[in-house]
Order: sequence, then structure tokens, then C-alpha cells
Amino acid sequence: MLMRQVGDVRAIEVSGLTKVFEVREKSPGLAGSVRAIVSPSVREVQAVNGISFQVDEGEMLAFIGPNGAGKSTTIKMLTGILYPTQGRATVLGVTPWEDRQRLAGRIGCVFGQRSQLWYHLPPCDTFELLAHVYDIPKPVYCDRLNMLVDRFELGEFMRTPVRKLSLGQRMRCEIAASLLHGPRVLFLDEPTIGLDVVAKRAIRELIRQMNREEGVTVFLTSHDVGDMEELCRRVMIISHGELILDTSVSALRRDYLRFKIVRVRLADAIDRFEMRGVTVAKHKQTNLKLSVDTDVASIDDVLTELMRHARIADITIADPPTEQVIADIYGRGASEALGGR
Amino acid sequence: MSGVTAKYFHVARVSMRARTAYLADFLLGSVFYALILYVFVQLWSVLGRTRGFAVEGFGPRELVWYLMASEAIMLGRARFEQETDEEVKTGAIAYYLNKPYRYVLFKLASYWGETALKMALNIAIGATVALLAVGPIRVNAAHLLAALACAAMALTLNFLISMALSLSAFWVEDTAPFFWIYGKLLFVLGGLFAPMEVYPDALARVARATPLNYVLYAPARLFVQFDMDFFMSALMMQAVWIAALSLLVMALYSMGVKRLNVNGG
Repeated sequence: MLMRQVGDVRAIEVSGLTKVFEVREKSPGLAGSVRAIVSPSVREVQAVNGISFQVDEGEMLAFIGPNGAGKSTTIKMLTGILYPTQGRATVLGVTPWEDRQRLAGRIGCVFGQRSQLWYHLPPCDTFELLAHVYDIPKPVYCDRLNMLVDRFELGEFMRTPVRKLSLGQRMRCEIAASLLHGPRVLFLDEPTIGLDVVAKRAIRELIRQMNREEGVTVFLTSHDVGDMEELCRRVMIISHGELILDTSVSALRRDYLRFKIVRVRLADAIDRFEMRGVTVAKHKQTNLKLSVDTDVASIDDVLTELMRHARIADITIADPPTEQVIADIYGRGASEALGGR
Repeated sequence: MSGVTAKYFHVARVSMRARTAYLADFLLGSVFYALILYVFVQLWSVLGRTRGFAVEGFGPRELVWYLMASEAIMLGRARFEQETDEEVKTGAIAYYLNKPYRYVLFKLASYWGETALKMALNIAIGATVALLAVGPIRVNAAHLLAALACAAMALTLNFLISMALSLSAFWVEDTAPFFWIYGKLLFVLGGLFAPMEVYPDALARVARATPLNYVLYAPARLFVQFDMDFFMSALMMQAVWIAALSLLVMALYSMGVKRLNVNGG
């Protein structure tokens, strides 16, 4: 695993953190249900397996991995929601699961798949309640709210019931709500999940601003490589509960993210497409899926070459999925290990 | 108001606001209550006419007012159990755990926000129906306040029983059957439709040994027939049950949170 230099002031310190879940299993049918009562079968699932790392204050760190890798479990242990099976962790000097209440006032959390807003009420009601929950003095609350409303552009829907907000609007409110009490560390669990490109960009810009202007440490989990690339300088990749990479985003980009996936629908069918640095992953009449090595061929060059062959009707350019990046990391690790022998 | 009290007071206020977001639905819920009262007014009136029914001071008029009070509590209590069950099972409870408040107290405040509103509405509707159907009963302001204090304790007791059952979701897949049984036991042992004075002695003795009796019967009886000795003993028993169930809820919660398995983790 690649290791990085760490600074002096730690916001988060984790050592050997492990979480094992017990999952009850049941055979199908009525007999299975009866058996599950008489002699329940329990399977152990190792969600997080002895991970260790540190995060400096003011750092923005991406914690990336595919579904089920252990990202959310880690974030839930660091916010005191889950008790670990083994290991130690401190957030701002506090052990989260031992002193959850004390830590709660100093951290903010956003879980992309859950909401802390009152569904039938406008966001302003939740904000007002949170001000009381966090004991924020009235003048401080008013200033802070005005600043967040202004920056997150919440003004136009502050009095609209949450159920009537779009996903992007709701997420802006969620993040603003988690920042209301001025937390030192912000945990964001999949904050851009389900959002369209424009909303994603807006959310990322807001997170970047809060980090820059308030020095908030951001611990971001996502399975969207774009979140990591646009926000963070450091990335950790977790897979099957184990930390497989801890490096800078630029190093990851250089080593693993130089490939882009280009999907093109052409106006007219072509027989074949060949270009240096480009691998044709799929070709069916007018539809092409290309894997572009951006170190060898720029996207501009690829498009120019494509347009020499036919007119382009539609195009999408995407990062390789996290699963692919992880497969590459494993593949490289294996080949390096073989090469070293 | 201290910071801690203010925190939970505002939770109750927001909960109240959330429940009235759909005012028409909220008011329609009380129509059911009025309907039940109407049916029982007819039933008790027939019974009174045909047999001259009266047991230990409970004639048809008292029975109607008793039902008005017991049903006001039964239908006025906020039903949070399904919500809590879902929160435990889906892991939504996570959002409550990392906030600077106690989950159980948060739920209690939220419960009271909704309950206070429903109770006020039920009492207004119930008193109107009972007044029109059977006329007034004698009750003075001090007795009314005492009955309301007993009702407040009763509703807190109901909260703790429901919370204990909801927290069992940490261990069992579905808590709905527990609540079905609890509801039916409240009908019988709680004395929903008639006071203990009407029950056979053996059943009344069993009922009095359970906390359910202090959820419905005690406040409803105090409202109709105030008696200082009964008031003091009911209040004491409610306090004992509240203390015991609070300990149980705290134990269940602390054990449950340690074995929390948040979905999506």
C-alpha cells in the first residue's frame, strides 16, 4: 500500500478498526422459517478489516470503494453510530462510540441515502430545531443561517415543504443543516448519489468553499470517482473491508485514471475504427464504446478522428467505474509482485 | 427554560407542526372517535332504559363520559411504534444517534407534541358529543386538573410500554404482533369500554396488577368519579410503573444500540 506524509494536527486517527456483522440466514419455505427459529444459522460478515489511517485538520479526503466495500460502516463507526468489533479511533481527540454526545456538537454528517430534514415541513423548521438542538445562541444562529442560505442559494425554497424539493435542492439543505453549528469535521456519505451532473457540480463547489473558507476537515465517501477528482487531494480506496490504497489524487489519476470511457453514437455506420491509444471495447454498427488512454491520445484528438469517419449523433465521456479502478490496482499489485520475483 | 428543556420543547413543537401539515387528514381522524362515541352512547342508553343499569355509581351517563375520557386517551396517543420499528430496522436511527440529544427523550418529546394536540381535539369533540347525548356530569376544576395530571402520567406510561416494544426490533424482525396484542390487552385490561367496577372481580384483580390499568381506567375513572385516595394510589402506581419501564427502556436501548446493524453499511 502507498503511504503518505502526514501533518502534525490530526482530526481523525484510526488504528486497526474492524467491524464484523452477524447476519442471520434462513432457508426458503416454511420449513426454513421453523429451522431458523429452532436453530438459527448465523454468518459473520467482515465489513471492515483492521484499517488504520490519519486525517489532518483541514484536509479533504476521499474514501472510495464499490458498494459493500465498508465505506459507510467506517463512517458510521467514526461518527459513533456503530460500535467496532476491534480497534481504536479518535475524532478531534474523542472516541466516537464512547462519547457520542460530546462529539456530536463538533462534527457534521450527511448521509446521502437518509434525510435529517422533517419531510412534511419546510427546511427553515428543521434549521430552527437544529439551532435549539445544538444550543446555538440566537444572534449566532441568525448570522450563520443567513450566510448558509446565501451561499447555498436556499432562499427560494426555505419555506417549501421538503417533500416538494428536488433531490439537488434537498441535498443542498442537508449539507447546510449539517454545517449550521460550525462543525470542525464534516462526514459526507455519498453526498452526490442520484444527482444529475449540474447538481453534482454545485454540491462539490459548495463543499470546496466550506473547506477553503472555514477550514472544515472533509471526510467524503463515494463510489463516484468524479467526487474524488474534483474535491480531494488525497484518496483512500477500500475494498472488501481493507484499505488497498492511500495516495494523492494526482498519483491515482496518473496511475489509474488516465483511461476514459467514450460512448459514441454515430449518424452513419462505420466498418472499423483504429487509433493509437484507443481500444474499441464494443462496436455495433453506429454504436462504439472506446477506452482512451489519455496519456497517448487526448479526447479532442479522438473526437476529431471520429468525425473524420462519420458525423457524431451522441456522445458521453465517463471515468472508469470504481470497480475497474480497483481491479487495475489489484492487477498492478499482482504484476508488480510477479515482476519483483 | 434551561437549554436541555428548551431543546426537547422545540422537538415537541416541530412534531406538532409536522402533524398539522395535513390539517384535513388530522381532523378527519377525530371523526372516527366521534363515531365510536355515538355508537356507545346508543348502546349504553338502551341498556339504561331496559334494565335500569347502574353499578357502583356508574349509570349510562357516567359510562358515556367514562368512554369519552378513555377513548380520548386511546385515540389521542401518538402512534410512533411503526416509525421507530422502521428506524431500527432500516438504520435511519443513525441520524438520531449522532445528534446532541437522547434518542428516547427525542421520541418522547415528539410523541408529546402530537399527543397533546390530538388529546385537546379529542376532548373537545368527545365532550361535545357526550354533552349533547347524555347531558353534563358534575366535575369541578380541581378534580379535572387531577384527572388531567393522571392522564399525562398515563400517556407517558403508554409511551414507555410502546417504546419498549418498539426497541425489540433490535432483536426481532417484526414488532407489529406485539402492538396488536398490546392494543387488545388495552381494550380488556386497560378498561377501554367500561370501568373496572363493571368487571367480574377476578378479571378486575388481574387488570389492576398490570400497568395497562393505569393507562386508561385510572384517568377515565378519576374524570367521572373523583376520589382522593384513588387519585393518590393511582399516581403512585403510575410513578412506580414509569420508573420500572424507564429502566427497562434504557437497558433495551443501550443493549440494542451496541448491536445496531445499519443497512447500507
